[in-house]
Amino acid sequence: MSAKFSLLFVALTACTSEPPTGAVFASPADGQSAFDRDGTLVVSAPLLAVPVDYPTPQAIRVVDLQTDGFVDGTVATDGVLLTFTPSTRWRRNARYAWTVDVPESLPHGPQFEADEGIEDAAIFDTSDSLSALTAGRLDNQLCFVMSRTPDDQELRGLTLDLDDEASAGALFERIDPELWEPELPGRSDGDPGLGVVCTDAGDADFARLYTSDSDSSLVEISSDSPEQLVAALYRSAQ
Amino acid sequence: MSRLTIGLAAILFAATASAGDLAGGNAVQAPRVEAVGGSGLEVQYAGMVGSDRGVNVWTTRARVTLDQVHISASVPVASYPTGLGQDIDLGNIGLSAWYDLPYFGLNHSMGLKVHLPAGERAYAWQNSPEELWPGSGLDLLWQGRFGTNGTTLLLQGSLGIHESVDFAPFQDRWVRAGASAVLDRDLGNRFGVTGSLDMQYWDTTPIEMSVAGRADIVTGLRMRGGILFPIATWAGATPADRPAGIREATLFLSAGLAL
Repeated sequence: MSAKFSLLFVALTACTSEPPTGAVFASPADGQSAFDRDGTLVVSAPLLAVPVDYPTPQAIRVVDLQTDGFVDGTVATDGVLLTFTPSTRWRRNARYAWTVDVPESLPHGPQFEADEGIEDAAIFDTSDSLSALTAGRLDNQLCFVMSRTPDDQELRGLTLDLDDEASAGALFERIDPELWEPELPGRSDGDPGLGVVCTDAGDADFARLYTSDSDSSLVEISSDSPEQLVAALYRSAQ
Repeated sequence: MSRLTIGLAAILFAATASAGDLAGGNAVQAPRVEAVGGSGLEVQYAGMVGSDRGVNVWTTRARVTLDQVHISASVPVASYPTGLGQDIDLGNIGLSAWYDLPYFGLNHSMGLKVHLPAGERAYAWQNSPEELWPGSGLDLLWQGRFGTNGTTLLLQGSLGIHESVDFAPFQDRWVRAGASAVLDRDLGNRFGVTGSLDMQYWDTTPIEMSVAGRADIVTGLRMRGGILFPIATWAGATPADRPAGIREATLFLSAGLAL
């Protein structure tokens, strides 16, 4: 069969429908804490396009990082949403890693394609731990994406080192989620999401944020906005 | 039993009646071309062979002729691979009605064929996109038949609109125009061979050929067996992410009882 002949027929069948569109994200975000023990992992991936009730038992895999064992649960599809519901509640104060594995396309069946970034591994935990995940800039402020939204007392207790120098008297404020939180249609009820706090600070390459006397997070400061940083943690396409 | 005995038995078997008598209302057909005329019941198996095998379809078809009108109904049951091994479900029900047009140098008929979803999750196709993957559609058909001295040439044209559901790797809706040519030749009184060439666009198998043999075991009972070659699929024209290559063909076997 000549190459021209093959190309002709490939072109004839290339007339497929427009690819499905919609939000791309995986929730909870990478590094998120205080995840609801009854929460469901949700992946919105329009290109993945899994037909309703199509069996995809391995499309979402979750590992309990304390036991190193796979978590039993059910993967279900609902339109462009792929969900994982554990067989039992998430354990208290536990940390989990999870991945999205694109199902195998079949010669005479569904064809699966991953949205960019959706297959990256992520972790979440059910504890109330508070940590900085990434840092970036919003206007002239230095902003931290937090593993959850800190309450007022926690906000007042935050202290900061910039490039290993103490930055005395830094005052932090929470930023309105409308400025940084992406649209997450179908996100699990009770998922508290992330938090973003900002403070006035000069230029630096690294920041260490103390959330208590004993806990701190060292993060590289990027030039990205909180909105971009949060989207990356949700594995959203930009 | 020796080969000679079997051969003599076959010759005697073939010589016991005329082809017309034994056909008993079983009309010429091919994978894309359904038999028009007569009343009866047929059961067909079509299974894919080769490295891309896995989809197997059992179809039951009933047809009734009322003067110039021919009605048929078919129900496919499919076994197909999924991410969790083989599954089984109903495909789409096919209903067709044909009307014999006045003789015009040939016998010809106009037909209307619809397919409606019966199952919910047969997310697969064998050669036709509308057979299994849940969806519905409508085709307008014309079929002409020329016959002389044990040879029948059958031509069919179709134009239809179809839709599929749930993220099929092809269009949600598509228009299809198709043309088929079938050549059928009697071999003695009981046997015959049939070849077909089909072209259709848009379709999961835009060009295909088939060859089949048939035997009228007793009056009205026709067995068929053959193989379909999806030429365009071999050339890479498939909705699946598969390169060009000969990895599949479809074997089909059927038993039809004319009533």
